[in-house]
Amino acid sequence: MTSLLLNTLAMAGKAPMESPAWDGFKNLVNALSVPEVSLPLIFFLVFIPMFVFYKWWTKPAVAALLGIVFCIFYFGSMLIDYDYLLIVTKADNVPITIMLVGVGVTLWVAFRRAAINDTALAQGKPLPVEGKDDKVLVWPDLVYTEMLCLILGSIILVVWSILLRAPLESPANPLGPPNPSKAPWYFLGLQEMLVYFDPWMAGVILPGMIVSGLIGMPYFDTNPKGNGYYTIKERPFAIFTWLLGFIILWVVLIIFGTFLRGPNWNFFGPYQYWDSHLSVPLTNINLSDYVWVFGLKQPLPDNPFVREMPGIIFVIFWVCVLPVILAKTIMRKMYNQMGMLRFAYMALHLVIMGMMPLKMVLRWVFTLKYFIYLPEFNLNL
Amino acid sequence: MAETHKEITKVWIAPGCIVCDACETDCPEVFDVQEETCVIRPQANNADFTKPLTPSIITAAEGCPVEVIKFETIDVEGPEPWAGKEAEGAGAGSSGAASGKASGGTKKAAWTPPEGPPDPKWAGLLANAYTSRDPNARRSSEPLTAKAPPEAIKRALPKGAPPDAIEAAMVGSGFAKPRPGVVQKIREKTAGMSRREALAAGISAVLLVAWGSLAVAFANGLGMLQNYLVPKVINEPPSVFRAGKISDYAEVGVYEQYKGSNGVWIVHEHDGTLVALSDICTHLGCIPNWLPADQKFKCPCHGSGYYMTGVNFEGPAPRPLERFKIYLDGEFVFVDKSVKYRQELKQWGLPGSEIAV
Repeated sequence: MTSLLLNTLAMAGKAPMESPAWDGFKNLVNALSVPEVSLPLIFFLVFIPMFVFYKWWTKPAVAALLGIVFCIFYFGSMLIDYDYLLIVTKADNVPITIMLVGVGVTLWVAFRRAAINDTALAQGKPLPVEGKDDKVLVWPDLVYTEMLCLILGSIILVVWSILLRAPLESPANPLGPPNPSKAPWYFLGLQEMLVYFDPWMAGVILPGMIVSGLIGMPYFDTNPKGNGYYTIKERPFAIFTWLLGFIILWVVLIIFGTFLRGPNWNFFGPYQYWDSHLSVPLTNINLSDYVWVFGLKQPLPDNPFVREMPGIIFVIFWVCVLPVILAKTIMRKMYNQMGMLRFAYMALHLVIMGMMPLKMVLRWVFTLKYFIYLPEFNLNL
Repeated sequence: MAETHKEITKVWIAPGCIVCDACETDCPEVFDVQEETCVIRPQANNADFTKPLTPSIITAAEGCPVEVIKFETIDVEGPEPWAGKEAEGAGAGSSGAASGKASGGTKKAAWTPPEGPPDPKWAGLLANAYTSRDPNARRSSEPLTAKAPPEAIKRALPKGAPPDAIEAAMVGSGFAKPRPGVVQKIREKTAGMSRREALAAGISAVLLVAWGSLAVAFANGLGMLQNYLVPKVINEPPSVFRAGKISDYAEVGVYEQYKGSNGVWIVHEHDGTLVALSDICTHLGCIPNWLPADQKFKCPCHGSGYYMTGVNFEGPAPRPLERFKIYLDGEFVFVDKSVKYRQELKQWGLPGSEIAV
């Protein structure tokens, strides 16, 4: 039924609504969605204000308005653009819509509660959760909840599997790989990282650091504030860093991979036709080329280690020296609280996470390919 | 120091006898091994009877594999009455209890020859042979030499008798001692060892065999696992294939007809060389597409781009596409996929990496 509805929408969208009147809007959105524009926009106009104005935007009326605007923009776009409609209604991408709505709702819940708690703390009042008895009985409270979840989950899965066709494709053919070849939706963030890093880095080291960071989090974050209640004011760094990694470097990259990556893994606007013959110049230059050829005006040295010395120095600085500088300057208080080992563990993950946006920005601005480029040893960074 | 020695006044059998006959061999006067257990003969319930038999009872007690022979001793003034008769009796007598070291043949009787083969044939043969246990009783005046008895035996035996028959005849006639049996060999080996040591040695040997065979079985299993993991049939085309005639590649460009069957692009480059490029993206192993309009290879997975020469220039690909060995045989072009040439290792330009068109 849903697919029928969507097909109707598609038919409707294809013919009458695709009028030139929308072209200006579409072109603007397409131009803004280029990653070198959209990611800074998302970071500075959405992510940072989300923290600064969290007491304002989480008010139910404002949040509802924001949600309605988002839904109009997100679902309404299907009416005015057929290419966008194809992306959103593709069976692979239905989870993306659910994820977007889910992330928005859970973020609102967390920020709303944090706003209430922080206001109470600022006024010296007790927290709303304090004094409440939050104990529930296993029987019947928990078991009934579980049973209802079981029934609802089963119904949703059955209905989903009936209404949406499984996105099966033709038998695999090495001569004709799907173009674009996309990972499952939850791995699109990883696939996006692979564009900027060597497979070893983006496929092994960075995911490994995500896992080890998640494992280590309870051990290096010993701040007792926020235990059992939402707060932002009492632990701004932890929440900001966590959401930076989760929202910007994971969810947003999944959205990029879903909506903006087209044939040949080129960037396309959400309202742009996926032209597999589109020619996009993407020439990338290594840091060693920049230093030796453009900077020092001489050919690359023969010895690969001399050749890559600038990148090696930079990476050693970034991974080994930068945490020390942070510990001595802006994070001195944190360093004193956490102690050397905990801080080192945290800072290592922090700077390596920071490498991701750094590399993306450098790729967009300077078309930088690799800091260290040692194909002789299959080692690139 | 007043000399005392121990004498056994009472001997009994604790439960647990395994009816092994060892005690009756050592001391038949006292022990009587029956169907299910060993009993003390009635006359041995007398202290006067057991006292002179002390050394052999102790030997039997020490020789008992399950150590069920128990006895009581008293200290008696004076030297051991049997000290002179028994070579090593003193040690065993003074150690007293069965826990002491085995005295090793305390009551080892002098070797007595068997009574002879029971077979009347053998008896007849041996009666005619010039053999006797007592050299003085020999019927022949011929002195017994080292060589003579076997000769005599050989004469007595039919021609071509097997060696074991000769040996049996020699043993039966008293010319040779029987070769030691397995039990005797073990006794000799373990002489001087305590029961504990002997058991430990035996258990170690058993454990060694057990763990050794387990290790062998495990290694065998590993080998089978490795055998299982290696594919039995590999449907790979042969690494060398013929890629048409050289005249097929007259024009500059990328020839894709061997991409599907062999995973190779034959490229006639602008500098007039013909090369065979691998169609595996060096980033993560997808298969790029040749875009004639852009004159580049473009990977659909992460957007890596390569020039017609195979050199990477865009996207995340870390190094150029690999070249395969290409060579001419007459007018035919051959490609050998087992030999690769990598640009970053400065292998392009080597003979085999390219041919002139």
